[in-house]
Amino acid sequence: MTNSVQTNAPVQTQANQAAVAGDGQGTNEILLDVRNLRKYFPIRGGLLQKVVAQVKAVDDVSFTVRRGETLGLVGESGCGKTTTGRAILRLVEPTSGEVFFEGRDVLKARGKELKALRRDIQIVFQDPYASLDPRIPVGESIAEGLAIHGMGTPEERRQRVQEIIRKVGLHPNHVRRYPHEFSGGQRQRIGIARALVMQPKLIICDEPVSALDVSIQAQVLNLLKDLQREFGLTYLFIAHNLSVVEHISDRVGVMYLGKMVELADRDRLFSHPMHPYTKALMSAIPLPDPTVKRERIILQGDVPSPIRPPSGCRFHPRCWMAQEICAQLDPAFEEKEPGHWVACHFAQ
Amino acid sequence: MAIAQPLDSAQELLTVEEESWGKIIWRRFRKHKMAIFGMVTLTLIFLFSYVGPLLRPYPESCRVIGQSKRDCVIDAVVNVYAPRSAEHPLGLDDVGRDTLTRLMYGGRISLFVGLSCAILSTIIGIVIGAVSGFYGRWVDAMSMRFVEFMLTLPTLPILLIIAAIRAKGGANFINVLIPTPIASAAGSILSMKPEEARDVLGLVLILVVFGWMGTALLVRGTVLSLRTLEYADAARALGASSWRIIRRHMIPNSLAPIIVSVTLAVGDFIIIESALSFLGFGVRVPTPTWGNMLTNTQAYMFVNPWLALYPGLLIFLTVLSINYIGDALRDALDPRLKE
Repeated sequence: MTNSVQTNAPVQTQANQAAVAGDGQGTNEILLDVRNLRKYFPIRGGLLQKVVAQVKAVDDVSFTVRRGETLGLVGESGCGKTTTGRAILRLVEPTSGEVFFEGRDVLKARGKELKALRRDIQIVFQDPYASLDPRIPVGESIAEGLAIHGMGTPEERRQRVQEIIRKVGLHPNHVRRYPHEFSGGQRQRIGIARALVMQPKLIICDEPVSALDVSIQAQVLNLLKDLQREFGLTYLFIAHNLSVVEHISDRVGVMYLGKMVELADRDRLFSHPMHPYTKALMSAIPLPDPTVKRERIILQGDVPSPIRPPSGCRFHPRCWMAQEICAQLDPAFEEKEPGHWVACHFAQ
Repeated sequence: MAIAQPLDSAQELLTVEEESWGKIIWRRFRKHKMAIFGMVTLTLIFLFSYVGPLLRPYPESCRVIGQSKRDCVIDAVVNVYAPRSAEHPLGLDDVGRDTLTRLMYGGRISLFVGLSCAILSTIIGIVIGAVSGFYGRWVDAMSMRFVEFMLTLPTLPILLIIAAIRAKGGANFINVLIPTPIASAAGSILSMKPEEARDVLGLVLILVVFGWMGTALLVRGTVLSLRTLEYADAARALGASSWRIIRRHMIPNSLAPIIVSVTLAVGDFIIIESALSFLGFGVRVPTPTWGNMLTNTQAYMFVNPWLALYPGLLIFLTVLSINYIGDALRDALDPRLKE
């Protein structure tokens, strides 16, 4: 197990450098550069609480996000997409890897540097009920970031909050209310306002619409799109719903069991998926037209445990294309076509 | 939807809340009838203790022998356990002192000890509990082992030893810890000499040292669950320091159980104080407290049961009132509860 990771690491790094070079018509175009990110959660047991195993939530993930784009990150529950988002913000400390934001080393940042980074990178959470402090009026929740960073006088902050709350489609009078007085969709707007008020460059959207009704999902997604246009925002958009990701993303990365398996432009990925896992996912998207027939790929078995992931390619036990090599060698994440990255021995 | 929208905003314009936070809390607080009863009762008890003595002609600890009649009323032989009369509405005690006056003075000390112990031990408990729960890992392990150690200490024997050392006289090692300005401030509240007030403060100190663990465990447990919520992460993502998250988010959200525990603690401390006074630690006779008045009457229970009833009733009323107030406060401070 450990072996396969080690043998794989150098290959992966090369691939990533290629990615940087390939993407970078100008290096400044790349806002966020994630290299070989790993996050293992230790499982402790026994009398002395020794580490008996590790959950490899994120295992060697690399990608870049360009300024002004939306990178979608999809995958099943537990595939590590949320952990990836949180690791970039240092809400969980990654086990290893590198993250650069505008050339600044995020994982080595301490104290003031880290605080400054957190002004530029913000997050919108999945659960609009848990992400707002129930004891604080929403206006104060939105203003908290400004207060923490000492931005403006209290009066200026109040005005800024009023502006922002209008921008996200709520009424300025709402600032005095408490979170429980709002619906899920409204709360999510408040969560967006809280991130937006910091004038961040990158917003990590951690399944921002998964907890909402479908009709509200569309509203919030469109709001995010409008705000992106208006403020020139960059999104890392994490979701498990492919239609949502297709709607909002410019490029899409697919994760499986802690690994990035495919990364390409949205249209490219949705029309010509190369990785068998992506193909299976695509075939699961419901089609609006009932007369169109499509071959449905049904995967066998469940997602294996990230504590003991399969040898070689992690997808091989469920893959209909798997051959001997798949169980032995972890496929490198390579650029098979320009801008289209796949980790599969038989990608086509 | 299209129709509801303008209506909604029109209504909002009409009901723009210009109410201050304090007013909102007061409005909700008022809804609890028993809390109002508690407030009134507690106010009366405070007046009774702090203003009452000014209206009575007797000092609190006047002794029969060697004091002038004007101060001490009492005929030691004839009037001990004198029945209630216009002059002594609650009668006289075993050595012929005016019970009402002593209840008033006793209230000063009992309320002071009960409230200050409850508040101080709660503050310590909140800080240690919140830090322990929030940081987790070795901080948590260390502080929880310390809490467990404190809990396993047999408080009473230790206090007995302290009392014995104290009784030897000389430099009181606990009182040395209390700075003079605080002692004289307490002295003016309790209308005592600074040295006597220092004794009371020494008692408060000891009770606090042995009394904060319950709150710490309570707060730790709450914070342990609160810190995993997304709003803690959200604050961290905004750049908030750990201390800010603890102060702004963790502590306010664990307020409900804290308020309940602090109100219960007031009563507990009043009663513990009485037990310690009985053992000769803390406030000693003749200085009256409700606790030691209660304890001292045990021997005379059958001669004059009233003497036990009065301080008992006052302790009971105080604790009850504070509990009602605490209940109402907990509800009033919780924005989630319906109006």
